[in-house]
Amino acid sequence: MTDHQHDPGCQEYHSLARRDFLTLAGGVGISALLPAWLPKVVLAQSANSSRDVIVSIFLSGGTDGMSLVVPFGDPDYYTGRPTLAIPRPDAAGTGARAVALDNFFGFSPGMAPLMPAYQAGDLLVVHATGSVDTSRSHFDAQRYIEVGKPQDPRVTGGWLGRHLATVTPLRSEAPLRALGLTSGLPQTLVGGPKTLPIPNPANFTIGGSGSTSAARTQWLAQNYAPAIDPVADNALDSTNTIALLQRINFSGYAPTNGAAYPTSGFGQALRSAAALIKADVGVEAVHAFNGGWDTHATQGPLADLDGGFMHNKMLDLSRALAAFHADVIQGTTSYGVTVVIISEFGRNARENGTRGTDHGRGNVAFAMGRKIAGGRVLTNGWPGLARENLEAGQDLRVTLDHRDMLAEIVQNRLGNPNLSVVFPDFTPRFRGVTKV
Amino acid sequence: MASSDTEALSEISPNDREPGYESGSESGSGSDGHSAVADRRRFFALGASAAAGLAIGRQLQAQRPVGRPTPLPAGTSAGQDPSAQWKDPLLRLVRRVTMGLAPADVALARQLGYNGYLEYQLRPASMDDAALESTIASRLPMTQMTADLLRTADGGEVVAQLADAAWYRAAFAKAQLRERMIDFWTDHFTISINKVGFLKMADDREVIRPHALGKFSDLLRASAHSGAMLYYLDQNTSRTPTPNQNYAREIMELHTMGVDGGYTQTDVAELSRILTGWSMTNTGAFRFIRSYHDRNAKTFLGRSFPAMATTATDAQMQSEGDAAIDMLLQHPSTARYIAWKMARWLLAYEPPVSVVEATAATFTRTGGDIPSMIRTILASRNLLAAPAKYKRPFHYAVSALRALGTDTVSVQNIRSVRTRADQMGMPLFQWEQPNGYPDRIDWWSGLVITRWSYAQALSVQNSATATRVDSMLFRAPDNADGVVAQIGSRFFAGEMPVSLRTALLTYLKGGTYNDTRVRETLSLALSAQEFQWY
Repeated sequence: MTDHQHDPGCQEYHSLARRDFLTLAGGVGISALLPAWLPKVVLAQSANSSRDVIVSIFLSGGTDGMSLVVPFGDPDYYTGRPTLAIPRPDAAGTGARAVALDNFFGFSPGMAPLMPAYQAGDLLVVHATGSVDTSRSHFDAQRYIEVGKPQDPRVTGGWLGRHLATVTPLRSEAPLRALGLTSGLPQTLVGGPKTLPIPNPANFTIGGSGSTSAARTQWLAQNYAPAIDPVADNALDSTNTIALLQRINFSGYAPTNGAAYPTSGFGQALRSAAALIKADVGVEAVHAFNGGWDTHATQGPLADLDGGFMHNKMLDLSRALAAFHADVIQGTTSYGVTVVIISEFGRNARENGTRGTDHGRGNVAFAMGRKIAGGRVLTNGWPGLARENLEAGQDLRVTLDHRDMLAEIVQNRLGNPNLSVVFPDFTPRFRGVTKV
Repeated sequence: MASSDTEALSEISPNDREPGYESGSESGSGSDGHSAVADRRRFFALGASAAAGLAIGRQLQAQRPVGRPTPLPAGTSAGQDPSAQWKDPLLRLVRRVTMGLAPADVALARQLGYNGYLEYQLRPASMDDAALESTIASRLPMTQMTADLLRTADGGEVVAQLADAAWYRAAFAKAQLRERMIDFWTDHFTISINKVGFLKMADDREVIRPHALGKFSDLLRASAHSGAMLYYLDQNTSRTPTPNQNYAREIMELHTMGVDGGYTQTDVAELSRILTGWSMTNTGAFRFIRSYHDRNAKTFLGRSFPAMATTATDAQMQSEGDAAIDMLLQHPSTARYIAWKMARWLLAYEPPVSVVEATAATFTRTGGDIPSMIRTILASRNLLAAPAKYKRPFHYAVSALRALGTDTVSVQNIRSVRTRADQMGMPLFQWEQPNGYPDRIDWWSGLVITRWSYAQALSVQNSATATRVDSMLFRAPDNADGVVAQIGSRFFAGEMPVSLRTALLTYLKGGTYNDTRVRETLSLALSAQEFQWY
């Protein structure tokens, strides 16, 4: 692998003074259009019409990546986890065991529904990846990943928000460019123009009498116009989005290709994302959380272990992603979508005394899409789980900055070469995550 | 503006124009002509503009204060801070120490004055909320049950009755400041009811509520002995030789010292060893289990805990944890962190350093006396300079009930309204992570549609057995001008902006005057951006 140097010459640029941009864009939302920290915006004017929509999934709580993607080829994995280890694919007996991805890594049974996506070459597994920051605080670690730069309180936007702010909209007239399927605005999206948290897109209405709803909506739009930001922007984007979402039939959405989304919250979130993407209304980014991975005790990574808590969580995750893959990515009409899946940190190499795992470091991450170089497990060399090879004597080392994966996707799949803005003060190394 | 306030931020010179305010806005927020507003902006160094961190923003950074991340996203305010409309210092206080303006509280504050009303709210024991409590006890009998009975009761109903009771108290208790602090401590010592179920009932009853306006030391110790907390953070099963670090980490990171408080990963590991054995019975009562305890020598925050003999008593083993908790209470980082967080809650998203320092000193001087810290934070000159804060969904929902003049008679059963409000993203006791619901504008402000639809749904409640909003309270006199005047008085205590009054009148007069139109107008007033602030 070579150091990546991004060459501005290879892309068309469109440089505008902020005010010109505002005028160009119609000047309605004023600051709704771009954040004030951009004194001068350099918009990536992508000539590439095959830009992907990105679906970003954050597994919150610190996912035990070694239970998702099992390093069965490393004997120290079994030494450190006498009760929690997932048996090798070739283990004797009839019990549950890993499903081999290659001769070293395997999916645990809970992740097996993703085998078709992996075998189709659309799913890339990245291992021993994570953040350069060593914080084992959920909240700091998560914020650093969502922000895109650790330990810099001056950076308060999110990496995806800054991407949206520095790339031309897929559709200039789109009222909604990005959304979190969340009950609040995720840090990842902060700073993005026309970006909202929408926990349930199927129910995006101000309610009340249909005969007065237009008048009341207009009243509210006017009332919020002079409010301070982000309140004013959010209200403007919301009123503009009502009609858009009402045009989409979420409840009657029929997945294709035999896909069946789980009825769980996460399954339904991905189903909503699929409906939105297929409606082709200009949404460029969807962010969702999948929480509950903070497995300090009775982790249950297998169905018959401590009630199988984590096994069931993995099943829900993998079934939802497998459905999304079949429905949106692999279907007869493949939509240009890249999915990224990351967590704030992994967990200790060794289990604790309560058949759980405490906060660790290196972890697994995933990327999925037609233009993702998948069907393999990407590492920057497996660091090993022998005590002398562990970070602080406890944890899988981080040998690959997760931003390497994200930056390559931002530039090659999302058509935005402004990586120095999306990931400030970071020089990514492209690892061949995307297909050329 | 008292000029003494501006001394607080000596690092920001009076001539500093915040570059962030050069927005491309036609309204030209550069016209910081309101000197009060401008001063306030400098004084609080609004985080909105303290966010660059990009190569292209380098030249702006020299004058930016550096601190923890700010509540506002990159981007700056095109509008005016809503507090610019708030002329009366007394009403500023009522907004901050209640769950929303209501005529009775406004009248009482006018009678007692600023300091008098604050002192009244700081002494909940002197208030008579007996009638409310007996209503709760009869309607929500599970709130009175022992843990033994709760353990075998319908779990979903236990959770629902606890949340219903919390709503009744937040909306209707006279002890409003205590309710504001219960909202705060409930998040500070967050416990997800989805994990712990009925155990949260005792935690709410015996940890949060009794100590919300007491001593922080009592509150922390009670929390550390709470079955709900020990179970939520997996402390109850933590045992030697491989302790579980979950609670040991969070008691430092979230409950006391703060993430930048100066502890290390080694301190987390050592504290987890010290706390082994801190567990509970199956009804959530504290229980020390000696076979779980690590008797080997430990070093925590530089202090040695010598090895213990096998003959050590349970009390001796458990006392290691008590000593460690005392160390956390004495640690200067704890005074600073709790002071900062309380000032953020009561005063401003970016509390001035001087206020935080003074509050930390109060914490140290009084052994963490919460009312004394509140006195320091809410000194009137501080509050006069404070920008508005954005109501979180629970606060907003309850403030709407209060503004509409409801009480325990017109609300016979809160549940349908409460569960409807959950769509705003803040169902009580259900934040899954141990850091509690966010108190940040940018987390909540995108959810306006759910606020507007809640306001609409609430405004048409007319059930004698559930919730009834009495529109006749507002139809006095029974015409458009009368209704809008009542809104101005009940929702805004007379400080309704003229522009809002005009807009409400225009809507109300834009159709046939009838009860439906009046209720729509009420819902618009509740939805209005001016009603989202406190």
